[in-house]
Amino acid sequence: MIKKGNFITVKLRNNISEIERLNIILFQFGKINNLSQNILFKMNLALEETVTNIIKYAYNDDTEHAILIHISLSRGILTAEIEDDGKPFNPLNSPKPDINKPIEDRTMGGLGIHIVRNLMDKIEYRRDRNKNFLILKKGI
Amino acid sequence: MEITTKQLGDIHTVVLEGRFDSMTAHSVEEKLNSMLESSHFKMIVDLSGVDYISSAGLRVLLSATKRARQEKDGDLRLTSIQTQVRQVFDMAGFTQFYKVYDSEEKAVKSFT
Repeated sequence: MIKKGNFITVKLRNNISEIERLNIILFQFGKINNLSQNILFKMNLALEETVTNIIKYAYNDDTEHAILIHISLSRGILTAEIEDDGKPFNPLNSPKPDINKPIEDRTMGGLGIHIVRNLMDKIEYRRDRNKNFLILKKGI
Repeated sequence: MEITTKQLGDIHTVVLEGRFDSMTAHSVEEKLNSMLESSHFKMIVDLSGVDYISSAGLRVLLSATKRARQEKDGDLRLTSIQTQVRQVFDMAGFTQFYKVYDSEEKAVKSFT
């Protein structure tokens, strides 16, 4: 963990148990920067959905991988950049689930990303140096 | 996540307390599945103590609800959803699936 007031980097292993550590660090960052519970709830959920997807689907092997999360606050915008070395995946290209379907026809596919899209003001993706970079932005 | 259960006649209530996320969803899933396997198809999930839910939690509820509704008079009903959790239900289009009651008593009555 690197801490410099309004910028923090968290290095996670590709293991679901790491989500708890991410939550704790995000809330510490929120406290230092006086972020509202509402903003923290939204960023927390967006990060959980994103990181969970990476852990579940990004890797074809059983080895340990690092997922880096850079969280920053600048000019009223809370930004989280998630960096992983998994297979190329641009969540912005994934189809939107039909949330009006009746329960018997509902599946869970794509729901996590749909939630992230709803929670954030802006999402960007790039593939660079064999890594995925997803940038989530939320105005505070 | 703390999970406690209560029974009133053939109605079983699961009271959840804590975060319903990718780390805790599995324990809730196990509890709901064990109830379904014991043919307890009238279920209430009390969410008053849940201040956070992610798609992992929604997935568990969806699966158990679908299973319960396959049985005569079977259902999974919810009580006391906190505002932020409700917003996640709305986002996911899940609100339309559930009868939500503001107390366990009302949810129990709805089954009778």
